[in-house]
Amino acid sequence: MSLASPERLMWLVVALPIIGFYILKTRLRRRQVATLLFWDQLFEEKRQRSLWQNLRHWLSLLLQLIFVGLLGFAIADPLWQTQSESGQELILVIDNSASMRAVDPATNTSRLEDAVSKAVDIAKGLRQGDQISLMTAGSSVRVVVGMTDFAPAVQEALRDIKATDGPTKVYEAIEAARRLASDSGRRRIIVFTDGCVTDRKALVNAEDVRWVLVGKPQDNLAITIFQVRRSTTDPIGYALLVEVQNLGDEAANARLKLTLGDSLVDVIPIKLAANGTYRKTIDGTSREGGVLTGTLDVEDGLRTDNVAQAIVPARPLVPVTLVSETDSDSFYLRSVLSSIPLVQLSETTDALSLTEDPNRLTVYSGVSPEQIPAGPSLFVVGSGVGPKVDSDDVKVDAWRIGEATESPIVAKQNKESPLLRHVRLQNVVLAGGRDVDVNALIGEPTTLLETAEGSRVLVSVERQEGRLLILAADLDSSDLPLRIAFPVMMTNAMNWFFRETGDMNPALSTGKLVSVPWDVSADNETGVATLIAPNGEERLVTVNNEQATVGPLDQVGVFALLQPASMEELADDDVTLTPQEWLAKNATGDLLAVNLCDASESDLRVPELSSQETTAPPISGASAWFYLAMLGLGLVIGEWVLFNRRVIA
Amino acid sequence: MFDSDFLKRLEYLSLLSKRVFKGQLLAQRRTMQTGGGIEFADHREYVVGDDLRYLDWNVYARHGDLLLKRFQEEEDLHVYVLLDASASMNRGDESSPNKFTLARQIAAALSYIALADLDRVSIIAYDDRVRATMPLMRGKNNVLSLLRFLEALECGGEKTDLRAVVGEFVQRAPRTGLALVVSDLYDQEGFREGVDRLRYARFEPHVIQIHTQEEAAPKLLGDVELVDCETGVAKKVTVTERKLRQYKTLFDQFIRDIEAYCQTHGLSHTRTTTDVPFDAVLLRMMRTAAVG
Repeated sequence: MSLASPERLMWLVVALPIIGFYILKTRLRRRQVATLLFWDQLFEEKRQRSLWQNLRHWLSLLLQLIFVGLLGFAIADPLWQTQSESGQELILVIDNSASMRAVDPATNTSRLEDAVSKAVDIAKGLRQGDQISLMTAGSSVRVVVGMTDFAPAVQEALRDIKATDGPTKVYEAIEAARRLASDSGRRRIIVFTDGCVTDRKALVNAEDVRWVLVGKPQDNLAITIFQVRRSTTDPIGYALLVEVQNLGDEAANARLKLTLGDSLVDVIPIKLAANGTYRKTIDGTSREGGVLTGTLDVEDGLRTDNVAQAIVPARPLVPVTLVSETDSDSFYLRSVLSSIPLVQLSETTDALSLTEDPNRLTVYSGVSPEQIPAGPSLFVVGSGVGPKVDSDDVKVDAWRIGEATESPIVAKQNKESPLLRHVRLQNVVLAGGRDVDVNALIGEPTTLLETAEGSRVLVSVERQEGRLLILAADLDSSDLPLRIAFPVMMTNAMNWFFRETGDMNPALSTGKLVSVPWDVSADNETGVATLIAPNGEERLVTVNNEQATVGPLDQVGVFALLQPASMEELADDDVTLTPQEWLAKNATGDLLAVNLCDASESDLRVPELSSQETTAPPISGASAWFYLAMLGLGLVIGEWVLFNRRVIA
Repeated sequence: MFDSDFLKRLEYLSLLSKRVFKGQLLAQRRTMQTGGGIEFADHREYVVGDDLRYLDWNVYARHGDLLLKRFQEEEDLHVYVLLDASASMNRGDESSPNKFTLARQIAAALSYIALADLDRVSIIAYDDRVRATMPLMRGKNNVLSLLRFLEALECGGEKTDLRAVVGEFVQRAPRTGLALVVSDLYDQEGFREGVDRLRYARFEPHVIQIHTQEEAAPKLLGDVELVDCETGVAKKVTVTERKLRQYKTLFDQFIRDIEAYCQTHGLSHTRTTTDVPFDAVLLRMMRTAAVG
């Protein structure tokens, strides 16, 4: 046996005053009395009893010294040989999910505070040879403190744990803990949670896992679904799907207040039976868009799930100018453009009279300007000469149009391009189809349609000044305008030009990893975007294939996904801007709404585990005889208090 | 101890006693001894040698019988004060005087009253035997020597034995009389035999018991070693509240036993604690006697 803290044996000197007190106690006070007549009658002692009286004092001293000895050794923290060789690997898993924010009305403490308090108690009992680590299992699994034998570090870290708005990930945390401590014989995982998880039946103690449940059951109303999508019939309309659940055992009433920006949309009274669900689709229109917020007007255990948000994008009118030859009516093109919602179409025959406007789409039908103007442009070209570009002070063709082919049947189609989404043009005869050879000086071309002979009849070009789409075909004599694919393709083109699909990003959920469409700029070389949290915190997210990978987020609210380049000029080191403020400053990007929307997390009814499952962890804490020694000391003190009380009285 | 104030209070008590007892006290009592008194008591047969002056000539003239007149002789009473001077009497506490001091004051007062009534007074100080004796004396002119005797007394001895003392006293006493026993009655062998022997010897015992408040209700708690101040015997005890309650019960029983004994044998018994002044004790004795 070894002692963890042999220096603490100095506490054994406490035995000295005890012996001193004993001597004082055994030196009886002598009192003279007039007679012993009455005392003799009072104490008619037998000899055996008298002997016991004498022994009693010695026994009392012996017991006191034993108590002091036990106490001294307990403080010195003895370790058996086996203990010191096989120390435990203790992993504390703290559930800091949204439900842990629930406050117990009786104690006015949150579940997280209770969990931290219990975890600190266990961390304090760490013994020599043991190791401890700390993990959180909120919206994401995080190792807060790696394996260490320094318990104060864990205690300090425990007090710094903050609750998140995300769902619980205790099962993932347990798996991570098992990877962290690979020795199953020494591993002890203690999970401090309120049991608000998806699969509550899995809350079963394993060989190496003990559950410590915190919190008292509470009723709760929660918005569990809050998603908005674009209306299928109205380009500026939207449809909201909202679901409210009563996660309690009693009926409840509430009002759901819907606002879009600062405007009140609707107030819906809701009556919910016990464990009832309210679900409704609400239609609305808004060209300006904004943040659509749903708020439950109710006071319950968890406030995070009483508010949900979704982003309704603005739908501004798109100015489109059709430039055509004087003798060409461009009937199909005009008709298609006119039929696209939100397009504000104008026509001209004089390409030179156009002013450059990066926010306007210019459609050249059989006409080519001398130079490609800034802004997005659609070229429907025939055999004519195309615009020029500067190359070392020499003007060269921006593209060259090949000879007409005899049977321009589309043989290959770029399926990944958003321009051809929902469009199938293979085996379509594209009359007047010619090969477009784009000069690399104007940008990186992408072939969208290619004939069997290899002619690139539809080419898109990514250009810093504005995207280009070049179609080498004769629309007036082609089958293409007669197909349903043509207006679809033109609508795709409109969205592609302005990097605006009109689709709505779904409201995200905390704790989940999601991909968000990211087609903000042609400059995606960095491969990153900046995510602005509601409190202004910035973090970078990766972008791959025009998809930004976001999450898992641990905070609800409105985020912004911004183009880093657009933020550089607007950034102010002294001021932290919110997502809305960034966009108000014309930073390029989108807003993202993040909600909890997790019925399991909002269900604050703490599950009941069987006695086996709630068994206290057989780890940590001092030895049982430590407490016995403390009890013994308490008895000794009590005995002394009583004795002195008698003497003083 | 016996200052001028004390003497004034003695004189007051003496006067008071005359009014209270009205001729029943001490020297004014008739003895049953016939002799040279003036009050006729009885006749008896004349025998040769009798003083013819006491022959009842009237009876002889009427009946011819020679009868001698007998008269009840008046004589002074003998008062014996048996004063306990054992070590146990040398007890007292801060709030009340020493037991022996009070005992001596009571003895002095009773003696003074007796001397004032022209009775004969003797004081016998004892523990397990007679330690000092003041011989019989008469008249108030002996008060000072009586007080000096009392003042010179000291407590001592290794035990108290009234029985042995009475045995010795009875043999020495020239005549019977009042025997005032002033003591705490803590005889190791019991005081009753001593008092009984006084009764058998035709003395009139009068018991005056003195104890302190501390002895009636000791204030001890915890582990203590009790030492008998007479015998020196020590006893280690652990005194608890319960034991104290039992002690008080025993002491009360001791008092009741003494009272019952005195009542059974027609003895006068006065009990006092040391916090009561001696004159108050005597007044109480007088009232008791007057009522009785």
